[in-house]
Amino acid sequence: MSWTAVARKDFQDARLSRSLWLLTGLFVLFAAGMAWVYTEIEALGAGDPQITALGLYDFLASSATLFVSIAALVLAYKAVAGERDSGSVKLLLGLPHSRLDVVLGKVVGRTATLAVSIVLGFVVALGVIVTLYDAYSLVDYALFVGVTLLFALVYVSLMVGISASVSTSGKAAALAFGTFVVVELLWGAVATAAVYVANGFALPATMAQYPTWYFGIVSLSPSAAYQSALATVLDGASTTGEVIGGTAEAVYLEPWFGFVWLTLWLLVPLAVGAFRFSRADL
Amino acid sequence: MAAIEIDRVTKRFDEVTALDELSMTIEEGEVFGFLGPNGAGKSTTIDILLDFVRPTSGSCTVLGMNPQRQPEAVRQRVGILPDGYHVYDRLTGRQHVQFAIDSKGGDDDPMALLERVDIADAADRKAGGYSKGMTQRLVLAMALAGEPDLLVLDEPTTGLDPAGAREMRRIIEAEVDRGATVFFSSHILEQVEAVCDRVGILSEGELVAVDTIDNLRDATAAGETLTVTLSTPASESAIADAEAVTGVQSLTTDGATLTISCDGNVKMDVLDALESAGHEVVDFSTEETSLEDLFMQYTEVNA
Repeated sequence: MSWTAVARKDFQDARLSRSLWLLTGLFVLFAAGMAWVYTEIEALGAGDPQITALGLYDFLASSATLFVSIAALVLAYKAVAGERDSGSVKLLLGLPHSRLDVVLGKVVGRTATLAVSIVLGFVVALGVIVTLYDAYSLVDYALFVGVTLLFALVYVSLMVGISASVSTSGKAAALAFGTFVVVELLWGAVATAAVYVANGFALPATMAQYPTWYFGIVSLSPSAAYQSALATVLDGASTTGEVIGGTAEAVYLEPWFGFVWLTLWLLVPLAVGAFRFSRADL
Repeated sequence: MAAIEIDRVTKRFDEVTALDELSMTIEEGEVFGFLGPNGAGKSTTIDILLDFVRPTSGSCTVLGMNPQRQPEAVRQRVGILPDGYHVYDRLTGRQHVQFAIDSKGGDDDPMALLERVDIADAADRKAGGYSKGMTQRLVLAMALAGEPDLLVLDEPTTGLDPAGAREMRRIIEAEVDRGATVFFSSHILEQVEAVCDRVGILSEGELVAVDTIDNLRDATAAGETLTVTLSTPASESAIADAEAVTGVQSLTTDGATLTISCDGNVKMDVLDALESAGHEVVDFSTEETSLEDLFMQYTEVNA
């Protein structure tokens, strides 16, 4: 169980990173700013206060997905490959840690580091909410932060998995950034392309003719899965998952299935990375 | 039980053969110097012993355990000063040593270890600001955590000034007195000569010699060069007498000065022979064949 020592060391090390503090500062401003901006928008068309608060989570969640995914990338893409590059991995593995301990310790240490930033940002945002809103639920807010922390764990795990599967920081950077672009920015296009190919290199005429699995693909990206998961715990929140899956019937379009996708994103890339790292010559 | 046993280990990286059927044994409690020019395969050997890289064929044991099967158990009892490492720039010296102690599940005092390597005053500074020598001392302190049974030191004197190198020697000796085995690689031969019980010379992935330094010196042609100055030019018979002394390999004369290549232990016999032939020895000096010469001889012959 020596991953705990690795995680502690990694937390001590990573939390001193300047880029992390820069990102955290931005996120604190962003989260608080989003909470404030939302009150301005809400003032334009005031509605049921309960709905209002839930709408705020969607608003916060969309900024959180961007922050968490970018921060996880910056924080974790060099976690393993960077140590192989510099040679500090020889200090790390000269001590009685297994390579799996190193990978797991990195995931836990870097997630803890990112969690500090996330909690900091949401505590400040909570201050704004308490000041500006009449109706809010602390339980819902805690659930929201909890699911966001799970999303952070998933993203860090994905990035550490990528980092562990290659030998240099350069390759890790390319693969991590490429994954981010595909999964966060181009995912809709990927799903559309899959339909295009499956449909005999033509797109169906209307959205209603799209196959059910198209919505499955759309909802499996980490951030879509995160929003589905949020919808499950924050009863009644409108989410991407529910909206796109609204017409189709499939178990993988249920909002709770977001947790399944998150679990797969948590485990599969990490398992591949850990396996490749365990067989590598350093 | 042998501390390290390497049995026909071969390691190929793509098309390059780094180690070619290397076999050797290091006994418990000895100080073994692993010599060879850069690129000879020293670090690869050490990397295999610690499971940083896997052999293409062959096997090895460290403290009776196979590092490929039980890498953590091996490293639990080994202290390592690797080559080409990098410290964590943002962590302090004390945090580094504490990490090593925590990793080994020990209860050493990090300050005591830092004092042993003489950088206690820099304990709370970030290691990124350390000089090369201080970094080397820091990593040595990490290696000493948990009283390892085997110390593996890859080029330990890199970056150390002469005083630091002396301290390194003192620490190695203290560790051996405690009962540890020390395996270290170097190309700084004087260091090896001063502390090692035995040395192995590696050249192009093959072990070309393993023995005590004295034996290696005896095994090579010239053990010592003896220069003798006589009061008068040497007579024919004196030269013949000196050449007849067992252990003398060659003798040249330049007036009253004789230059004699011989084994290390026969210089008094040579001086006696010259004096009994009627000469007066005004002055003499000896020059030991340096390990450097030995080393060159071994590695060049095989190159």
